[in-house]
Amino acid sequence: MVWMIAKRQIHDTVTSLKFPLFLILFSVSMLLSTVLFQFHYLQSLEDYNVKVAEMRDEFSRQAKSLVQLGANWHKLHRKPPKLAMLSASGEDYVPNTAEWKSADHGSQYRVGRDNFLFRTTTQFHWTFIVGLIVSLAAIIFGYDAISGEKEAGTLRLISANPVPRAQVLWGKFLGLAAVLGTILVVGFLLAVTAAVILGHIALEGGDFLRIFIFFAGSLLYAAVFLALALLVSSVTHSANVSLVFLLLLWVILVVVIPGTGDIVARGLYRTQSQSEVEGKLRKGQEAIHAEFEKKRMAGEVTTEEDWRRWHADLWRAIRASDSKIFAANRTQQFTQTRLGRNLTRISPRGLFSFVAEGLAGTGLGGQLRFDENGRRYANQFGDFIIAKDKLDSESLHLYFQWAGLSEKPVDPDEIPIFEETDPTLSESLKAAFVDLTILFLMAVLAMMGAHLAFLRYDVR
Amino acid sequence: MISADQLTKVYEDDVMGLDHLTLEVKPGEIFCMLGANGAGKTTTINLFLNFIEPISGTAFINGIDAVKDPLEAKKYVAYLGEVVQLYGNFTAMQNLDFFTKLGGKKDVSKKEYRDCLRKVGLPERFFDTKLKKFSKGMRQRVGLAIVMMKDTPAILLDEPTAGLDPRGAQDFLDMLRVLRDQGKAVFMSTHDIFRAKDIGDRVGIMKQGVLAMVLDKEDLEEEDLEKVYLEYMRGWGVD
Amino acid sequence: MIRTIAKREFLSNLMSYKFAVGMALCLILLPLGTYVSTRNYHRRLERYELDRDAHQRELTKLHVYSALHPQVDKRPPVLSIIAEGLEERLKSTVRADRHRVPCLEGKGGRMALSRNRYAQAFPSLEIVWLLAIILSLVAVLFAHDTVTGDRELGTLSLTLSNPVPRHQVLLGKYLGGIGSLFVPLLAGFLAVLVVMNLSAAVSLSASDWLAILIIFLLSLIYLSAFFLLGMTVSSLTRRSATSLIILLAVWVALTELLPNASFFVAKNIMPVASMEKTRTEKRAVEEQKNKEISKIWETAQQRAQRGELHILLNKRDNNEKGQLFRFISPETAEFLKDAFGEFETIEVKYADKMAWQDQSYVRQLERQWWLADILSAPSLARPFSSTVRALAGTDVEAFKSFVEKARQYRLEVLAFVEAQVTSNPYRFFTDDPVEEIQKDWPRALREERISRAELGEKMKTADGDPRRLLDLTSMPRFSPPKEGVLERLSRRWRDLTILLLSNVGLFLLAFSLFLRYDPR
Repeated sequence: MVWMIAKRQIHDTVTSLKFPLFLILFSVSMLLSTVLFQFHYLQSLEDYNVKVAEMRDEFSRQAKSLVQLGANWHKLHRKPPKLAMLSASGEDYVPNTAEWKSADHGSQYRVGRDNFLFRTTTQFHWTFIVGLIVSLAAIIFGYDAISGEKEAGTLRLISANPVPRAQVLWGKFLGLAAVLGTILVVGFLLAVTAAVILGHIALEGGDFLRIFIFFAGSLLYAAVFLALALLVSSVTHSANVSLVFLLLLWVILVVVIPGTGDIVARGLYRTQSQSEVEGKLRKGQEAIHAEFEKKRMAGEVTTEEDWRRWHADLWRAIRASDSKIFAANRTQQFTQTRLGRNLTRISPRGLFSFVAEGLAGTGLGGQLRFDENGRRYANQFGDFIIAKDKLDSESLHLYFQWAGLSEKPVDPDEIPIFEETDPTLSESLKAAFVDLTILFLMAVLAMMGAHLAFLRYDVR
Repeated sequence: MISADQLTKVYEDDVMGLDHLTLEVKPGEIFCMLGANGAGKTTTINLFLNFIEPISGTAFINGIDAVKDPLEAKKYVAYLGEVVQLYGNFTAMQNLDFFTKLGGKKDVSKKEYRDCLRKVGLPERFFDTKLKKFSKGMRQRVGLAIVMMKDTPAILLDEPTAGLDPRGAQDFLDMLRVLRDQGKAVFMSTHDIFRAKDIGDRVGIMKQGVLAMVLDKEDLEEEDLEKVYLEYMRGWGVD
Repeated sequence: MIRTIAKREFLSNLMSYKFAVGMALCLILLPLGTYVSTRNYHRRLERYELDRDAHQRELTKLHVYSALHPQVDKRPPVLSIIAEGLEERLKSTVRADRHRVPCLEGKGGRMALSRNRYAQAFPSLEIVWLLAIILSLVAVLFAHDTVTGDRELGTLSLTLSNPVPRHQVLLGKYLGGIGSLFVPLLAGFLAVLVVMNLSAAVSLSASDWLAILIIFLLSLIYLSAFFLLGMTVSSLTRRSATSLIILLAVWVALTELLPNASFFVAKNIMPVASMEKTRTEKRAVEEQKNKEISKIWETAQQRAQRGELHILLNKRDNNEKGQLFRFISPETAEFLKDAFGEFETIEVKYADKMAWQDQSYVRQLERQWWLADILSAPSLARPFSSTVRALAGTDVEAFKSFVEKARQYRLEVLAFVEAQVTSNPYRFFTDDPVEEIQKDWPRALREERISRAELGEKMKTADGDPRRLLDLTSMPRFSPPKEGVLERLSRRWRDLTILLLSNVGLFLLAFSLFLRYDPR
């Protein structure tokens, strides 16, 4: 019986104007996005390779002297994420370059081809398209499922038959979900085919699996809005009213909440201004300078070696004080960002975006990963320098200071090289799992609400 | 008052809408057009109102060519369709006021509206009720009030009694007679043979766009309209 | 006749659920959004004040002119509450540095400590964008059944059976619809203004009020364009439901997909040179400069080794750039005077060279941005929001004119420093009064006319001596660019034209379609 109702619903929707309209809108957007991202990726990868080559050049130049390698600041570059087309949310802000030296991690920033004259980030990724078009399609497909049939009088006819009401609702849900699923399948197949044919991004098995999970997430996301549409349709008695109300809900959930999460967080949680941080840095540096000056004046520094130690200690102390201030500043900013993200989680679109981010390894997760990998590498590099430095008896072993490292050459081939590995499948899944679960619960909750409302629906 | 000369309409898909229709409705006369669905009754009315353009022929209202000068012609004709729901969130008075003003009348007093609504038999308590709460019969009364307020010499009615209960339909026709006695020319399409016989001064029978037969009062009294109509329809079917 | 139809349309809309939703959208979302955005503005203002005060305070602590690199801050305009624009994207503090020509810069630089660099999941919504989305949605909702709805009720044929020309019917419907949209728009604007003015940080000047008035009128024009779009689609379809679905698809494509897609397309079609490349080029120039400068320092070193130059104290002044020398010998003073004179010429020469590079990079960005602007023009929401941003003073042009002004200010500072230095040529690098230099303390120390301890005491007092600070009272003050509201509006003449033309075009289209509409 459920199947009968679903079939009729499918037939009804597929033959109406809305189906081809949204099918075309979705497919064209997905194709355009995929093609653009192919070229975007190609360019980013080229830029990245140039930067990596420069980094290696720099290493082999500096290998002439260990101190050059060990005490200099270097740069680390983030590999452009392969699946950025799934979700590039905020990618334009995410630092792709980190400054580091042995066992130390400095500032992070972004270089590349971004344009700071654009107010918003590049937003034409799959998540954006699914987030907008599919949710709107779900609402438009579902808004009149119940109130519309009531207006047409067919609900009375259906209810006159020995069919349990739950089956009517589930039939409608499944039918509409099948239609939405068809739109998604067509769009995704076209996009993936285009990606494979163009082939600028080397997709592998794991990537296809991620895309498939992303597809499943998209279905779930569509189901949330479909269930919401059925819920609203089951509490109103006119299709018009239910559509208008759903549109209100859509604007709030899809446009307003995601767009304001960060602003609200900025208002709720304060971070420091430029001059505040600069002031703190200067204060810390001045105190340390004064302290070291005192030592020098007291005549503790006499020999050449003393002098070098004094210098090394001074710089180390300053760096430690600066790092503390930078870290505190970063922690504040991180707290603010996390608050903003949590506020956004009220919206299914927020959740869906975070799922996509997790799968694609972009966004905040990708940023933290890069950060962590960079730190690990800097430490590993530090260990390498220490090991090499110990071989030189003339060195003062003042770690990572200009004044106290060996000046012997190093074999360039021995220098550890930073390799950013792509996240493993289980890492990707772990990042997406929680949000995926919440999304699922949201769908279940909305469907339960629709169920209850429909059981009490007045079919007259 | 309402006249057509060789009026012909062919739709885009080569369907014959109206085939050389010639007729005249005089003041003080009710002309009922009988016919099955799709016979061309509504097409005739649409042509008089210039909702569609004829292929050839002319339609006149009060001697004014309704094709060439539709706006002028519309000053002399009032129209009421079958499915008029009117504006649901407006009251009877508001609806009446709106359409009367559209008809070109100015400075009509509330009292006149009330009188008119009373005349069409709308209970006083419904005057200021929103139309969405009205039954179909009540709506049609408001529709008739709109026609009466416009006070034109020609009236076009498209299945005005469809969907009304017998009592409502009877009331409607009674009011129509009053309008006829005031000297108005009424063209009414219907597929209700009994009502047509009851109210029509002349009855036309239409089939596939052709006005096949016109019976006047004497013919109607002599012949059994129902028999004529059914035979006529059948006869054509056999061809 | 038009009035009758407009009045009915107006009243009918006023009583509909659509109106309730429109009011709800305008009266809930806009004030809430404004509240949040006002708080944000407050934070931004606080930050600006902190930074500005810090920069002013810095100027009171300088000892030598080589340290004089005033920084000027762009005050966040109060209307950035409505249109945040590029406030969070572009640097609002510019160094009117003698050694660097101010240029438009993003906030994401290496040392931008106040910018939250953690990934934002969604771009933040401005009030103007919220307005653009809500207004267009409400307009589309109001307009979708102007024709089809009447047809479904049967009132369209009843109306047209009267001697009313069709264009009057349509015009009446248009005016009535716009009239009824005026109510939520006005309510929304009033709510925004009330919420804005509740905050103590907000004070609106006369020109701000004028800008708000113009923004209101613009919103009306924008609203009208979408209303006409709705009427056009309604005149094309037979059923209200069909009309609304088409309109919603068009709406989402216009307001969301097109602007975003056009940015991305522009970035791919017209890629800018990578920042790294620009930086490498700049670094090459910088290295050249450093070479020239270090040549002079090398001579200094050589002479110091030969015992010709004597400096007892050399430290940084209150900022990175200030080189402060104290207790120097007269010969050293003469040498440094020449050296610093040369440094200044070198720095200024290279500053101009690098400015040219900076500007050519910004020009690339602007070209790309311009392309995106053109591509997204049909969305209407973009032209509307761009114009509002221009009025609010948060668009690229506003920042550009600020930078331009800072550039002029830099020249004034340069002239000022030059004038000051001609009167006291040593003031560039030392705060020792001329008589102190003549006393030649290094020699006195060598000849043991003064003990180390005494000199140490002298040095300590020098730091605390307010007379040694630079007197900058006669330094030119920075005055931010003053632009009239109309001047700002005229910058977006293209967007204005698009908005107005789309109104005219859509009206003609709706009109010609309605003339042929079958009312049955």
